[in-house]
Amino acid sequence: MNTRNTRKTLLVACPLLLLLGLAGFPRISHAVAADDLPEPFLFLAWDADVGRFLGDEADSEGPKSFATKADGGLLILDQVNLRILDFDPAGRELPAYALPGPAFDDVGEAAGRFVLALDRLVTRTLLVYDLDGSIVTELDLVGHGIEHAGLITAMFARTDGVWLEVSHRHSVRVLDAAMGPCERRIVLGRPIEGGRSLIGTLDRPAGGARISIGPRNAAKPDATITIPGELPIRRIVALDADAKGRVLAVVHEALFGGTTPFGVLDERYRLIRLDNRFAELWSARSPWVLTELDQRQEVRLGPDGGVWQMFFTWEGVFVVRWDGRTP
Amino acid sequence: MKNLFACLMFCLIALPSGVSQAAPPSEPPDAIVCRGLSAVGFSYWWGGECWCSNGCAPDLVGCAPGVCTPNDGSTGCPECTHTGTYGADCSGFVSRAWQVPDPLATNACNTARYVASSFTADNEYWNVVPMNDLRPADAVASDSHVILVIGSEDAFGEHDCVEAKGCSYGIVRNSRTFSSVYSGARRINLTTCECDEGSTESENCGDCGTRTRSCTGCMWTGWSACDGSDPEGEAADCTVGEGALGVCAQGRQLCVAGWLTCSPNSPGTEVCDGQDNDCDGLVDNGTTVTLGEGYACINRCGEGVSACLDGAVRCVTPGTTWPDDTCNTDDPGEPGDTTADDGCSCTVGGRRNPGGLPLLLPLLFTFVLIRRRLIRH
Repeated sequence: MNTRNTRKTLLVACPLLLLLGLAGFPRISHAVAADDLPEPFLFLAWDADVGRFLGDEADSEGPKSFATKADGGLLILDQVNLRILDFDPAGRELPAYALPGPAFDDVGEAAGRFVLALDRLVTRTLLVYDLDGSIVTELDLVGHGIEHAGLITAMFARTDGVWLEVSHRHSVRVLDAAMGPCERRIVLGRPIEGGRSLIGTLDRPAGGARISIGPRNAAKPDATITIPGELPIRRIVALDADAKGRVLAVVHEALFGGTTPFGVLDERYRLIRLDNRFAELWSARSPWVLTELDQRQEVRLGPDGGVWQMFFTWEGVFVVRWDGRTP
Repeated sequence: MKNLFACLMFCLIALPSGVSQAAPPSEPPDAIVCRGLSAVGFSYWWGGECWCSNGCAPDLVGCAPGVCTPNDGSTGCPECTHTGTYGADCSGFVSRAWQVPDPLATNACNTARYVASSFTADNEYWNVVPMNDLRPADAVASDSHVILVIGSEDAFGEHDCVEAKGCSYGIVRNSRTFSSVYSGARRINLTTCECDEGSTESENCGDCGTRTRSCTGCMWTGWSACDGSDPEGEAADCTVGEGALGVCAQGRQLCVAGWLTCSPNSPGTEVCDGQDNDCDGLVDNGTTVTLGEGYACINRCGEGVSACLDGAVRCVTPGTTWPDDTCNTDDPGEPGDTTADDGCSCTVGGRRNPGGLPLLLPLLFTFVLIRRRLIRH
């Protein structure tokens, strides 16, 4: 190696790189490596603590969804046992909410004093519980903006009410801030606070994921970013923003074999935090991906910006908190 | 042991003696999608494979769907009980939708069918396909479950599907994803040319939208996203209601994803125009800068200061209580004005606090603010 030339190159390159960095290149913090995996915040053993169903000519399922609460606690949808498990910020179990049926597949908290339970497939209703566990609202899902309840793809509790996303394309406000039925309002993408929305789209056939942010129903977004896949991006697992406008995007990267049976060779989730102008703040790779137990919500953004993941192993259900917080 | 028993049961059901097998009919993928949609709403019946259809819709009136009930202590089949004539489990549903191993009417019950794991490997009637190349009418299968895909991949990579999901669900239409234990399969005898190259067709969707698809390579592409044009003219005006305040209570009708929606005006800067621009419930309550107040001005009465009154920036003259007491010849000190009750129309000047008014203006401005507050309340 020619040391002198190397030094010369460094002398020229370093100021250039510094200038480029100052010129507004996205800040890239370190990506969390596999050996930096977070410790479990919560573990629930199968059958003893939480239910699962192993399908036999039917779909298998574990807890379909979970949600972060405003106080830092968690809700776990244990629909197999007809209940919503409630945990305080220290992980201590609180009295559960009773579910009237086994087909609920999403859960949420609204305004810190209501719990939401969504059944898209059978009763096609959204239930709102108060903190005493009483049902205060029961809403039929099908209506203006929602033709097929089974095509609802996400539920968001915002300060202006509850929104349901359809086919990952548009969202319908179905409850107002007081959790009452309201005139249905529709926005493209996912509504976030501040009258804005996020729109995510897989970039086919390139293999990336494109994310835009801007005013709701604006003709043009304020900003757009394309996240390239380290492996081909198969799916956008999660996309949300906190109250400060910082965005969380989670993508499923998977490499499949090129010949029969086309099995998966490598896969993982990549979690990326962006600021409100899409500069990267933090990223991590999670080895915990969807199993054969059906699960609707795998990653949630906490009210303080923390990133939570619920995943399954043969032992049970784990919930971990990734350090996605930023100053 | 339970799985072994289940496998034996299904193998017996799937390969009954003396039943001839026939290749599935030559048909377009749309025909399979249509058959699949016609099962939605029927019950899950472990070992079942039949339902009643009326075109692409289920006939839930002519054929009452059955009821699946888990046995005591169980959460699902096969420890379950089914009542009723019609219903299907996951593999019975896909077998019938695909017309394998025999092309039969959807309401033919107790017939041969395949088990879910069959669909994970090549067969004389289907071939395994990559999961990143799924199309409508393909199946997605694991060792214990199989699903019919009826739509193209959505923006996030999920698919519109129909599946006999389980005893608690029945046969449902469901936007879903698949873990990597699943593999794809495509039936044979799909019509190789189902449309004229380059042709397009469209259909209405939502309440203001249309969606289209085009013929490429002899196959229909998936339907485009539902979309439509925004209303124009008077039809574009709308009222938001629901306690929205100020200009935010009004909006524009938009056609979003094929659905009409009233998009409220966004809150803006509070200016002096008699409206609640920032949607806080108060009219003309901005800052002196946004309202254009505090500027020196000249009106017929002499020097004054600009103030926001009754939704307009006025030039208010010291010594008057304008606009109630108009500035006229009866008022003392009005220079050269001989017109009775002509008001004090004014020109708001560009000068701010000119030298001649530094002491007078703060007093006058305080007076204006107090007066404005009295008017509002």
